Amino acid sequence: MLVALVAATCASLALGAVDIPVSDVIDTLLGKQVPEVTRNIIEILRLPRTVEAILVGAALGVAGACLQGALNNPLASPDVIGVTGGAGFGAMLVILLYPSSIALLPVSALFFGLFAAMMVFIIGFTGRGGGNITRVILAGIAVASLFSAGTAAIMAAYPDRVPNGIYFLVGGLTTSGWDTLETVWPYLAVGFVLAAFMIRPLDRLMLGDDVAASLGSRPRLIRLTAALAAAVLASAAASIAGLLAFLGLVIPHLIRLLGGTKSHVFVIPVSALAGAALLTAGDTLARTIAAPVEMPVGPFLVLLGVPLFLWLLRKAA
Amino acid sequence: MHLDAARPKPRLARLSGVVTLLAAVLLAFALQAPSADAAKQKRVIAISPFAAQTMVQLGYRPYRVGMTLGATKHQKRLLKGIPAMTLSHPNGPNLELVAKMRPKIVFSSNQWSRGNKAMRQLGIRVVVADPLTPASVKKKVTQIGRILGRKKQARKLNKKITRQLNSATRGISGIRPRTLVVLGIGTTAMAFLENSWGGRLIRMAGGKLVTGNASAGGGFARISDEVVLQEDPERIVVVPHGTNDDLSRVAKWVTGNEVYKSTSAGQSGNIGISGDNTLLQAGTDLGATIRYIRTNFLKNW
Repeated sequence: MLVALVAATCASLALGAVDIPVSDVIDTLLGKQVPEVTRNIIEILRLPRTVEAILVGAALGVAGACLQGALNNPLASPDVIGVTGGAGFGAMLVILLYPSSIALLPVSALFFGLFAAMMVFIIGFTGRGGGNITRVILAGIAVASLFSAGTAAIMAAYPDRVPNGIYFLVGGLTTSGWDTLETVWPYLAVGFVLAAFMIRPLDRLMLGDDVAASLGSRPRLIRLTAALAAAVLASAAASIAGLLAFLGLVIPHLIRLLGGTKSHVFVIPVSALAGAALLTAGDTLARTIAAPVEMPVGPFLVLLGVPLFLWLLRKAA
Repeated sequence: MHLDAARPKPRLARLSGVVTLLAAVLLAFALQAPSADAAKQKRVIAISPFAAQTMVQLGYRPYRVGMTLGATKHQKRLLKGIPAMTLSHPNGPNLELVAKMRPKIVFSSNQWSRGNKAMRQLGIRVVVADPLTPASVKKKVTQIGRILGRKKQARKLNKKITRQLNSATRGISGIRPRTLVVLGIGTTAMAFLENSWGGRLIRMAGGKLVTGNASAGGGFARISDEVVLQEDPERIVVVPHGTNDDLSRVAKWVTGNEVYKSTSAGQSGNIGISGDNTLLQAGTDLGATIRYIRTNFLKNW
């Protein structure tokens, strides 16, 4: 998987709408003299975009793995805890209602993504029966529906501005320099660290709540913390790249099928690598296949990931 | 023989003459009245801004006009005092309200095709009279004039449009600045292509549109920022879309954009913002629009 990631990274830097010799790409990265246009394309456009693809792909892969482990549900993904719906609403709020404040888009997506997750956690984890998986999932679906309806309402009120928001909704990376990453990296860092601490506890949780409790773990706390890590990672990812929920759902399953194990010691880190590789490759394809027009990466992820996933499913069966 | 009895009385003759004259005048009015009433009562709704402007300039006041965001000062002046109808997708105006108004004619555009079909089913005559290109503006003016019975006024308006256009395009040299026009702001701005309304206007105004040779039926495409850097536009025009509540903030975002900053346009301060819909919607003020583009964006006036 590391090899795939390295290959995808190299392709992302070397390929684009403008043909640049690989030697020039290498020279730019090494700080040597190259034409200014080449330097600008590599340093302002391709490099930040590649780094974003790696981080977002890894974040979504880890978020999906954490959620599926926490909720013990193979269909769990950032959609389920309302993050995607909340982030989408936050982004569309800025794009459609306050287009002149477009710089606030990542902040708004992040805020509403976390807000939606918080609503789910409060409903799902508090009070009598709190922490029940069904309750958490149903709360997530309800909150996601609420924000989806809000998004649809805004789109209906401002139909002329909708095209600018479509790319966010279908998911896609954009070339905006390092600004968005500078805003969002602390959340990604917190999410990754939390997820790393959850690897062993999630493995204990796989044995069942009773067994986990007897080993000294607190199942409800583990679920909450893992879901929180997933929420932070998914919100941060959505604020950069829009709604790419497919990655969070499918990547952990792909890794379990490929590795033949459900242990989170394997699944979480390798999901990070796989998510990063898939998104980086998908983004490279999306921006080169119809150049100079850039396609949104969401559909390409599905085109790349689904056949592989179906083949693995059949093989496993 | 009584001569007095044989000769008609003068007062009676005068009276009958007056009555005959009065009858003739009344008859003439009676014949005129239906067409005058008909003209007065003929309700015509203009959903598209182009049709609304054309009607007013032909001396025919629309009964209602479609609500227009981003209208220019000139357009707002033309349509002052005419009640507006709110438009929303996919039908355009509220069809129940239109049915209640019982208009004779509705001038619409292809944007509201579903609504057009529904209005026809209501028995309303719907005419799609929006020009798709600047070259077809005069043809559409003629069409609207013919439908409204204002052919002479339409010819006069077309002559005015031609005169203004010739004046606005005078002195355009062979050197055309490379111009990128983008719709919307944010990370997914769409570039105007050659087949868009604004793209055609830029060409008429003496600019060379930067498109990376992209093509799309809708006239807009998200072209790669790499291509923007490679083509290095000398002018960039941003059309923020819809109502602009804070142009200064838009300007701040635009001038801070990493990609735009790196182009010749960014480095020479030639990034402009179009705060209204002149580059998006057809209008009869082609000459004024081109002069606006040349003065504010292309800097070749």
